[in-house]
Amino acid sequence: MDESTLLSIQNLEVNFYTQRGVVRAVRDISFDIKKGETLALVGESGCGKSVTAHSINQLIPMPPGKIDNGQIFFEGQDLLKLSERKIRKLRGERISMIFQEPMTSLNPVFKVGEQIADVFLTHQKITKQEAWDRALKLLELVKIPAPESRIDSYPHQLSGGMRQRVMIAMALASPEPGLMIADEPTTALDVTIQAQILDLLADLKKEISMSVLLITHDMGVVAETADRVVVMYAGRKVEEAGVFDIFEKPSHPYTLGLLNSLPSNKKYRGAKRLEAIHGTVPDLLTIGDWCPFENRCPFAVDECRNSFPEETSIAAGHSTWCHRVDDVIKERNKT
Amino acid sequence: MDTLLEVKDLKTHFTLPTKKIAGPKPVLKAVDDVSFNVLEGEILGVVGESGCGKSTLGRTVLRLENKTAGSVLYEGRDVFELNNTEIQHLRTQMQMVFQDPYSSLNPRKKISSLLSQPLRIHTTLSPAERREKIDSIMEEIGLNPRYTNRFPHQFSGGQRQRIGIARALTLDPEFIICDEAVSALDVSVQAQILNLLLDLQDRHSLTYLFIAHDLGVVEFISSRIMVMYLGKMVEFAEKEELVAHHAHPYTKTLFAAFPTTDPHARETKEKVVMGDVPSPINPPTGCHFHPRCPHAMDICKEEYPELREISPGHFAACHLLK
Repeated sequence: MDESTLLSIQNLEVNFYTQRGVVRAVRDISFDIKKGETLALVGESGCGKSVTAHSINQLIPMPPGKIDNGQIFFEGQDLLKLSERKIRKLRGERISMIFQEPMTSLNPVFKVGEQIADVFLTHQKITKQEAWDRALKLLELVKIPAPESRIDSYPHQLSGGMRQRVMIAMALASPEPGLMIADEPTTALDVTIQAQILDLLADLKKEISMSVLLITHDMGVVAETADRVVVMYAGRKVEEAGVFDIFEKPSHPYTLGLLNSLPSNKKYRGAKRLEAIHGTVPDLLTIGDWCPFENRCPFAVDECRNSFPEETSIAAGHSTWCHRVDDVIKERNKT
Repeated sequence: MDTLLEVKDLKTHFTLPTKKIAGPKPVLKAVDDVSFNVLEGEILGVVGESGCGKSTLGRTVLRLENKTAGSVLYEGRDVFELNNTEIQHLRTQMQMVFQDPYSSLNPRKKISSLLSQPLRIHTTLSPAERREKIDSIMEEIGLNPRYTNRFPHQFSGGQRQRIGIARALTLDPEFIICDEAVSALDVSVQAQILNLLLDLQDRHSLTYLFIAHDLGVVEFISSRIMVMYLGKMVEFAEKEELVAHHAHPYTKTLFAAFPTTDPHARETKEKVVMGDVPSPINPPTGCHFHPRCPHAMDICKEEYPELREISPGHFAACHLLK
């Protein structure tokens, strides 16, 4: 493995064994995150992006969930082979996480200062006073106004944006944060607050060399923050590219459709209708081994119903998984 | 175009419970002195962040909330002066589509029963005629009429939102309020529903009041846009005018904060956003936006700026714009 790679997921397969049958949540997902890079995992609800991310620090409820195949290398060691004790040590120390709903992910009965200090006390041998001082420094770092008084607040006394800042502070409560997994970090926030949180994350990344795995459904957030993008659909990776290529040269019909679904897309200035993707996402209980986008894809042919396509490399760092990729690119270049 | 709905100086205030025995009770001014009109056949977009009063505005227009002051004139008649029979008749003309397609459909009722209820209450159609009507509406919104035997949980979010729209359509209304009607949906489904709403508008010459927090959606669908902040209307203009020449600092903030889909733009993007949305219970004095406004002056702290027409049809409430 490359020196610059921090995390490498290889052939990950996660299934949920439910009463109704096997839900094939994540199928054959592989990608790398380099040091200092922001990778966005994009897709709509149920596409497996959260399950993929939760597999990294093994937060998938097992049972019913089960990681049936694959490896997740973090700095060279396979996380899936580690004992629970070692994983616990990594969580919070090297791999941290922020969630969509900051109210439910903070403990309502402890002051935010205590919750941040707890992270320090769990992972390091320091005094409570030191932990408290460091918590205060972190609140300053995440630009909470009047941190000296805010440190004594309970989560309900803070606004949604403030709570998300506290979550980010907790994620940074480590001497060397390695990877931050941000699961829809701004989805529950108002757009002006979202802009502030995205700015903060960008600033922090400049200050601390940290990798971010950003999980989002919002292409706008991707455009503002990501370096590289992995597009997922119904448990499969369908396209991977640098952020500019994803927006300028989308080469999978789903990525194309996703961008066309955005009303803010520049091509819709003065337009009467959007170019929507028809149909609905297939049921992951009954999904077959062929291309999952086949039933909604305007390019689909019989071949698409027979097998899942092999990787097609379009340029360095830009790959897509589509049988009809040549026609897709031709069609894209027309408009 | 004729005016369909006219809202004049509308105020919807809520008195909040308090633990204090004496003294004034806190008042939440959800909608405070808002005036506008909706033209026949247009889509008027209302945009703002959570707590700005946009949903309360929609509900008050339908008389689902009581007004505190002002008037709502629908085709010239004040909605709040109608008696029960008259308001019931008016309800057939004004309908609402809600945000959450999960909680807005009764989980214990089949789709056929959900859709026939408005017809049973408001019309004298026979059961067979009702069924026919429902089948035609189901087809119109893109669902197989066979599905009317199903329960809401058997549908996906997008399909449920279609059913919510079908329910609003059963009585052939003229005016529909869409309260965050596409916010809970995935982008690809959101695009389908937006197209559906536009198709229906063409076919039935509907008028929409389209309430949403997503500037991209509002900008796409609306013909005119109203921007709200903490119960007040801060700017109002034709869409093209607002997009090109938004004048109020809050509108500018909204546009700046809205993520673009151009990754190149992040380098040049200015950071103009600051602070949190203050509590609507005790909004800042003067202009509600002054604590977050980069151009705040002394007068902004004392006096609420009047809404001025800064160019034909373009209104904004800001002391800077004189």
